[in-house]
Amino acid sequence: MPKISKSASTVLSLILVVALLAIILFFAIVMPLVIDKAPLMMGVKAYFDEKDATHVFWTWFYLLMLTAAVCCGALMAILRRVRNGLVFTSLTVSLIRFLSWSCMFIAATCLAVVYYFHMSYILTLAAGFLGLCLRVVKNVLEHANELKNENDLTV
Amino acid sequence: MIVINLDVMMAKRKMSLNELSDIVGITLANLSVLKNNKAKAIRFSTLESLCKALDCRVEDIIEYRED
Repeated sequence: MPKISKSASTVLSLILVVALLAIILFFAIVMPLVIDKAPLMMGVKAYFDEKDATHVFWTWFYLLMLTAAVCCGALMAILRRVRNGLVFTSLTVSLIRFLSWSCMFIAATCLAVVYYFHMSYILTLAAGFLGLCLRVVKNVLEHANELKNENDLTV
Repeated sequence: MIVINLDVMMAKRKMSLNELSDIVGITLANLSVLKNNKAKAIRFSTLESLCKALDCRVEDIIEYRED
């Protein structure tokens, strides 16, 4: 697998996050207009229509979109700090903690709609697992931060 | 607790922080951290350089005091 430099990798990550944010915004605006025509979403919407829970679907959908957009903002903040050399700081740890809890929140919202949409338990597991991974990464970074501070104060 | 008596030795030898920094080769910032008891650890090489520059023993710089 070809390897790129650290700075190029960070820039690539930033570009991908911006692209993801653009996709999220696109779907948030366009989805209400095309949902009856979009093959992927038609089945999902049909479930909710059947159970007379269209409002549940849209609430769930926009909650996910909003959380994802905010998470993209957090990712961009982390990547900007990494580009400026501010990697092992308490703010970076806080941002990753926020991302972890956001994933747990998404898992919780997907679990909440499992009565209406049974397949959302897969999203619950995926989001929960990702949240857990981020939590572990946050723990590692916290310890690394402590070690760095101690090393900085070694004369 | 461990107390660093660097300022005491510097006063005895009539040496400023700048002069000590030049002789020992440690930055002013790091020496300041050490002098103000903010350091978490000190390398043996640093201790050796300080003792040489201040013509003193280790116990003249580092002291243990009961809390």
